Amino acid sequence: MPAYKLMYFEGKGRAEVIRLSFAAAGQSFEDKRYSIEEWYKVKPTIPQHQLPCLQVDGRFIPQSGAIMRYIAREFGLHGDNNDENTRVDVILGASDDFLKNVMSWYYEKDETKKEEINKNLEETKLPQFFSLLESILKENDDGDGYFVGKKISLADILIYDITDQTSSVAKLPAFPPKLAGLIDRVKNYSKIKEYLAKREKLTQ
Amino acid sequence: MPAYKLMYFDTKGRAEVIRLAFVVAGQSFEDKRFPMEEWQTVKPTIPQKQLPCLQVDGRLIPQSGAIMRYVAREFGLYGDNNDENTRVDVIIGTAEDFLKSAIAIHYEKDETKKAELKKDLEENKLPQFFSLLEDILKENNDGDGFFVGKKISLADILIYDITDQVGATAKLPAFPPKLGGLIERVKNYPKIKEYLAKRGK
Repeated sequence: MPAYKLMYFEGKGRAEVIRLSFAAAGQSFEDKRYSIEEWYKVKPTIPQHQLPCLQVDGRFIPQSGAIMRYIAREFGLHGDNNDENTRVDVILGASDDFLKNVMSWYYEKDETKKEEINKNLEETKLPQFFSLLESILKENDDGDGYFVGKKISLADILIYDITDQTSSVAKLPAFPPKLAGLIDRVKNYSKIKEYLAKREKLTQ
Repeated sequence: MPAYKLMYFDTKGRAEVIRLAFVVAGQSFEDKRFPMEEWQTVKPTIPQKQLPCLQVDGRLIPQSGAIMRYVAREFGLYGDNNDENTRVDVIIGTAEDFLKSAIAIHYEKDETKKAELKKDLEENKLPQFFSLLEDILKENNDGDGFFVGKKISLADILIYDITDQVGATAKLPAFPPKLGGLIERVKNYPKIKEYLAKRGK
């Protein structure tokens, strides 16, 4: 078994979906979290000088999109054929599109503009995103299972993580029915449930 | 063989890398280009109401990142194992980070800001991006071949396409040596050379 070391800051951000994937895979890894001062020392040694970065037996993999797919492929969380791989990628792409709105809220310095973006997020972007996810979900087993194939994948994990993180910056609309079922399914997936219970304790 | 129909506008944009991938694969496809009026009528029928969208035997695949990987996997342009697949993904991710700057210029309405962004692109972002690509390239065969493994992949095609499209609206810095070699190698790849001759600019 290779030795995995995931490097990021303290916090969920772009690393949490990777941590959740390791958890779902039942794969141990070193969960390295840099303080800002530590990061400034380490930064020159990291490819592209950005986090997250995954170290696998000494090799570095930068870029969160590359890392999450690497882990997903390694542990059977990326679908079992090109059609399923692509379905995961479609959901990753749709999520990236949605997250641009959260990012623009995050980076907006003008308070009035920031509030407008937040309002737009709550009233328009979030409902549209959830509605889209509901349609995509229903394409597979009428939405009564997972996003892709017959088992949990990176797509399910990512969508759960996005709803979790976004809920701390905006009020989420009610989940459409199938999406609500999917979110519960992920939260109750045994290895994820275990991980979430530990994570809860850390923040208390 | 499935029937492929790539739908986009009449321009390079986010579709050109996919067209180039089909070309390299020697795979015919319907290259559907919607004029604006036609797009408005078709839009409600397209998943996520965005282009590009790829139709494969009646199934619709949206999201350019998903389409390019689907075609790449189908035709051996995505590396041959997880490490190589990941190397392609790293390059795609790096390219996306860079493109945010190029795209921001396109959407900036304030002329002064636009000029500032373009200056930053030409003086900082482009040289940094090229320098990074040079380092990544040199990790494989000291940069004397392709980005990944021993054959052309989506990574090479994408980087060529980005330099071509950005080079049309901004002054590119000189290519570092290995990257210069890679760009030539892609332009002269027989199926691509043929396609570029027909396409012109």
